[in-house]
Amino acid sequence: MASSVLKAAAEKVGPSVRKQALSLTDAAASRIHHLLNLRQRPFLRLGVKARGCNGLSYTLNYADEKGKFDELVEDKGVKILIDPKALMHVIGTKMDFVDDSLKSEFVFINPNSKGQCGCGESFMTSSQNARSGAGQ
Amino acid sequence: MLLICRFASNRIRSSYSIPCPGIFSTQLSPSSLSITSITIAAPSPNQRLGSSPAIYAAIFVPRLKELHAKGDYGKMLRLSVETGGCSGFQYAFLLDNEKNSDDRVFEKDGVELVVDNISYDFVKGATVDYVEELIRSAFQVVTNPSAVGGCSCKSSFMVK
Repeated sequence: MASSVLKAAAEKVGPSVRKQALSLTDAAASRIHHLLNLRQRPFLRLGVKARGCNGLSYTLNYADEKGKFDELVEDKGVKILIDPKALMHVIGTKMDFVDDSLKSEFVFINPNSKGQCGCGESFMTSSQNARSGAGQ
Repeated sequence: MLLICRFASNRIRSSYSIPCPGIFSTQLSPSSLSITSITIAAPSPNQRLGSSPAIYAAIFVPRLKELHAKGDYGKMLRLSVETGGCSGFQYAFLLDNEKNSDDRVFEKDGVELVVDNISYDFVKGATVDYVEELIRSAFQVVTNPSAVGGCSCKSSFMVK
């Protein structure tokens, strides 16, 4: 009986407690919403690629369907897919959108990032650090 | 056999490669190549302040006009070169309404790009455009024949 009570409690609390891999600010969510409506596509896919002066940089593309291993993040009414290769690097990241006269861009506040390129585009995580250290 | 073919094709490709490969990226859309952007002319012997560049903008001009309409009326885009970034120097853009006595001004269709005299040496012949991508839209120095190598995010570079 206790176990069924616990089970019911866990089912209720579970979804709200389970943390999403990625969180969005309102500005980012509304910008993503605008971009998705512009091209009438269901998802954006966030990935990383190795480039830039300091390890990795983010990539963002439209996506039409969820790949088998993509992580789906749904927040504030928009859906983002995270590439499986990128997941370990971006987990816990907060995605923001800044818009000023000179530029408008998505900004990623990534707790895993151990260092950043001067321009802020490239970043390095500890797993990347180990790999690049071995490579050099 | 496959290795030999690949080696040969790489050798052929490298002999035809464009200069400053670190700055250009094949991902640039046609709209941001130099034929549609504002170019800072390399100096001729009689270059005077206020002379216009050779090749002009399709996205750069409308973007500045849009900013003028939104309230930054009369502002010019100022490009300056500062030390910093991953490769030694980096570009800085800002909106300004003041011209200094040592500035060089490049004008097109009512919008102006201003470069101070010291920075001008680093950007002779460069092309500036407003590049739009999904992840960001920003003013960038798209090509710069005065620079070599540099960060692939195009905001930092080294000089020859």
